[in-house]
Amino acid sequence: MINPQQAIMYKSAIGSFFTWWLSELQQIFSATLSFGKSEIAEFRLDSAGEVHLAAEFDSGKTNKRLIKIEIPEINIMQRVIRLPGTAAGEAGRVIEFEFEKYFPIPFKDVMCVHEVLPAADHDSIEIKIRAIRKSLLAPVLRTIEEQYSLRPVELQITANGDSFTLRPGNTAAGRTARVDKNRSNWPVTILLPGLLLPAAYIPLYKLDLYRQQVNAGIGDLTTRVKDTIALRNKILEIEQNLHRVTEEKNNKPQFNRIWSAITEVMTGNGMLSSIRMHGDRVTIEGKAVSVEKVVKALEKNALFYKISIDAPVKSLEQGKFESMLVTFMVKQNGKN
Amino acid sequence: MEKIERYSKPVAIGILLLVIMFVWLIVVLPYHSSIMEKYRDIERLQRKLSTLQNLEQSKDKIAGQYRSIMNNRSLDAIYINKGNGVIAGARLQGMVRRLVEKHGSVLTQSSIKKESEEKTGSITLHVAMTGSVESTYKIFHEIENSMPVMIVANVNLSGTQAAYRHSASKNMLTASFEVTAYVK
Repeated sequence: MINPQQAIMYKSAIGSFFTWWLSELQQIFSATLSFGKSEIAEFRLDSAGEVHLAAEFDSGKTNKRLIKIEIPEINIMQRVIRLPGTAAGEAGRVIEFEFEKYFPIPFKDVMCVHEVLPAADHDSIEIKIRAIRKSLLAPVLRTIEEQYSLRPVELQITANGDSFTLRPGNTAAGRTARVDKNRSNWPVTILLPGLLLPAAYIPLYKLDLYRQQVNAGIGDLTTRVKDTIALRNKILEIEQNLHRVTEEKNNKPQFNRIWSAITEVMTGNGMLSSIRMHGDRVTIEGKAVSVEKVVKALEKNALFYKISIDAPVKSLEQGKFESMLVTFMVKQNGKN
Repeated sequence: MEKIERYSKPVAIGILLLVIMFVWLIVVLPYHSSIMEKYRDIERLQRKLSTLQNLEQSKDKIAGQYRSIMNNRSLDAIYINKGNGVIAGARLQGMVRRLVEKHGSVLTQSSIKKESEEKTGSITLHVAMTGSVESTYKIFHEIENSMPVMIVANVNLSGTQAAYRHSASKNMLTASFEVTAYVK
């Protein structure tokens, strides 16, 4: 069983992993895709409170964008506080209530972010809070809006190499912003698959609906053409039957024809005592003046093939005849 | 720390690829195959529907075709009988008996082979007879060249001078064979 502290730890670890992963991807994509670069506007605030454009930006696409502002470190208030481990999920609320305990300014007058740091033990957590006076940021934002027609969606504040992100919309309501801007995209991350799933189901639903319509049409037509189907099936049966009869008649050897051919071969060559025909195989038995001559005569006939002598040839009637047992195959339709 | 920084981007891309592959295998492929299956099913049903529509359009034509087939006498002549196997068998026996007797031969045996006519669509008669060479030849010729269609098989022909010759036509032959006729 996982205890509540472990659950919080796992939740925090998973959250940190996703935070890291999404921010890495964001960096990769914004570095790879040119429009990612061009939509970031970078400014610098000098010690006199003057706003300067730090890098040129593409002004044509949109006036809502990520704005990077480099601010002198002196203007950033930051502190690391320690809270009980159980407060990890409620850190924002705790900071809001106890803000004045750590900073000499009311919470409503600042824009602030907090970051949960990796804790040394499981019983407590360390939170890094960074705050900036609204009275400092407000004129800066106004200047940017008036001079460059830009409305910041996110503010990336950089001070002496350290950087954190603020969302002006969120902080105006007096809530603390999370240090990770990707964290604020979570609703979109969840909402998008949530919207995609029903959208993906629509084609399936439409196809099912269409299939049902076609099926209903088939059911209706089947009833209407039931008699026609029966007639068509009878016609097909008659045709198949006729085809089968014709095939068999053409393919089976015709005994009458075979007998005539054998008679022709045997005329003057000997006498038969029996003819047997099973399938394509014919066996003739009897006596011949010369069995060899009979075999040659059979070979000459186009109707017969695979002629073989099936028994030893014996001399009969004092050498006048030879005993004969010959087997051969009959061609069907001229094929073998 | 530097090492982690150096590998963090390739690792992030690797995880992204794994996630894409996972989503592809678990979601996209089954979804795609489900869509394709439904498409194929619909195509099959559409073909069936189209066949039925064609049938409906040509129902008068089919009825006419059936009437003309049923009234075709030459088609009837091919088959031994339209009735059941028993009647067809009796008719075949009668035909062969008349044929043998007509040519002066003697029918010694005729029996229907025990095969279901329903399965084969044909009736087979085992025949044994005795006759002259000439009459036997004529019987075979007539069986194989007249209507209804009949096929001779498993022939055993024995007797001196079995080879058909007019000069030897007085010699008697014993023949046993099978005649198959078809049932409509």
